[in-house]
Amino acid sequence: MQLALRDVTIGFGDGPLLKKVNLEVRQGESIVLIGPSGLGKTVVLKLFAGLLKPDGGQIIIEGRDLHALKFREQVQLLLKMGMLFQKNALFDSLTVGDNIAFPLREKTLLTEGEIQDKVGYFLEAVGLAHARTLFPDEISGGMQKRLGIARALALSPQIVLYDDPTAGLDPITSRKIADLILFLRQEHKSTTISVTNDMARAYQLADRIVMVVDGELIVTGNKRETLAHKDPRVSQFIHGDLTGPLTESLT
Amino acid sequence: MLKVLKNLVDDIGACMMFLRDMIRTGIRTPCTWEAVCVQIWKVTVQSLPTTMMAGFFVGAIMTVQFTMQIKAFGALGYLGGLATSATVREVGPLLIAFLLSGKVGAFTSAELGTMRVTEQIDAIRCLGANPLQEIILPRFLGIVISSFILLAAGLLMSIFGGLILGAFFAGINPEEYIRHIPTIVSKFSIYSGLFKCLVFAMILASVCTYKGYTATGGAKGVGRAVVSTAVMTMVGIVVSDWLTSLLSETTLVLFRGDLF
Repeated sequence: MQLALRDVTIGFGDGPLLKKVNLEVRQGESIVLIGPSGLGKTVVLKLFAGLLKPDGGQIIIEGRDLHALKFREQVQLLLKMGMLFQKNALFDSLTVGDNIAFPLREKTLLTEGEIQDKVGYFLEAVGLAHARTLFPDEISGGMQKRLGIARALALSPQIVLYDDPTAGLDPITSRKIADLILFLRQEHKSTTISVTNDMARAYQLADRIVMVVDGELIVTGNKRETLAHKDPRVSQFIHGDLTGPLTESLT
Repeated sequence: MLKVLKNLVDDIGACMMFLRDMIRTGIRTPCTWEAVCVQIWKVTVQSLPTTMMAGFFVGAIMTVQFTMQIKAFGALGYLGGLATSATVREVGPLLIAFLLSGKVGAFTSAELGTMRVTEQIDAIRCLGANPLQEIILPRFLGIVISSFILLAAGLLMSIFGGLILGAFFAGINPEEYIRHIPTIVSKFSIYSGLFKCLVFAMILASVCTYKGYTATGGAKGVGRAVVSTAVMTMVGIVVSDWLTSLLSETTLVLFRGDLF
């Protein structure tokens, strides 16, 4: 087990968003989080990334309780993780190349030449070699996603968190991004946790699917198990039905 | 009213804790001088023309005002000293602080607020870097150091403005205008002006970085952070001006004739 949530509770004002939830992620596994908007999928990712502190419970990374560690130890542990943000969070004052070079300059002892070689490798991998000197706002949404992925992978993390990697993209670009994630996962042998509500991409990416709903995490399993899942909330969500427990609870 | 007061006290407390974290970060993991120099350059270039123009007119205004007052006493010769002393001790630091607050304070707060709401600050953390060290500390030091450079530039221009107006308005010989500056502008006036400049710059730098860093709620939140920065810095500068003036005068009374 590489990552785990143990009895984690977190809320933002109106009661807890997640109530004593548990989740275990094995090394090399690909987990996909699905669920209605605003119910805590991104929160799960941010908890693993150390960007949010739970009100109760433990975040376990490689057997260590993240928030019981000293700041420096936390930073070292979190360096094993890369994250693609929902809206990419690219540094708009830096060029495409410098966005990828930033973590390499900050956290490695590589020479500038070696950094540029690595930047070239990642840009090649995500098909952005031609855009190296452009700024993020000069490239398309799909290219920004690919740049976000390349930056998240710059430090060769063992765990990669993808927050809605295909949001707002057309089906073809969305498919290309999912293929890229799978390719990079195989290449770097990394563990991945992705958030998406695009079920086709979820089935493509997931070893296991987890639904975040009503403050709980429902592990639904792989594609076949998810499709056959008994919980009416899961079945309503994956089929996009307008009537069912999810719409009732919303109204 | 009570709620407003409570929010203000909360804000001041949180801002002080932010400043403490920043100083702690600066001691443990200082930022690079290169990053600070970039910020000094940005702030100085951004505000130099405005500061110099304002400095010129402040000198001119002081000269016009003092001319009217001291002409009756036949002490026009001291005009340069009086106008410069007032600028060094009070008007200069206050002017620089207000100019920086309007321009650099608002800009920094908006810039950091945008970085916060677009998750760029979270991204910096995720990439293993410390945002306080990477983006806050260089901006803080850049604003503080630049305010001294701008004070010097503004002061020179105010002497120049006073000198020109003194020659045209009161018919004072420029040589005489400058000769009396050291007579009236004491070391104490300079220390007092520099101290005020430091205090104002620190208030401005802490408030604008804190407000930007903690902005929430999209574009509206960034707007709120900028407005809040403007209000808090203006109030902070005026209140601290009163406190530093009181402190300066008390120090002057205590040590008069010995050190100054």
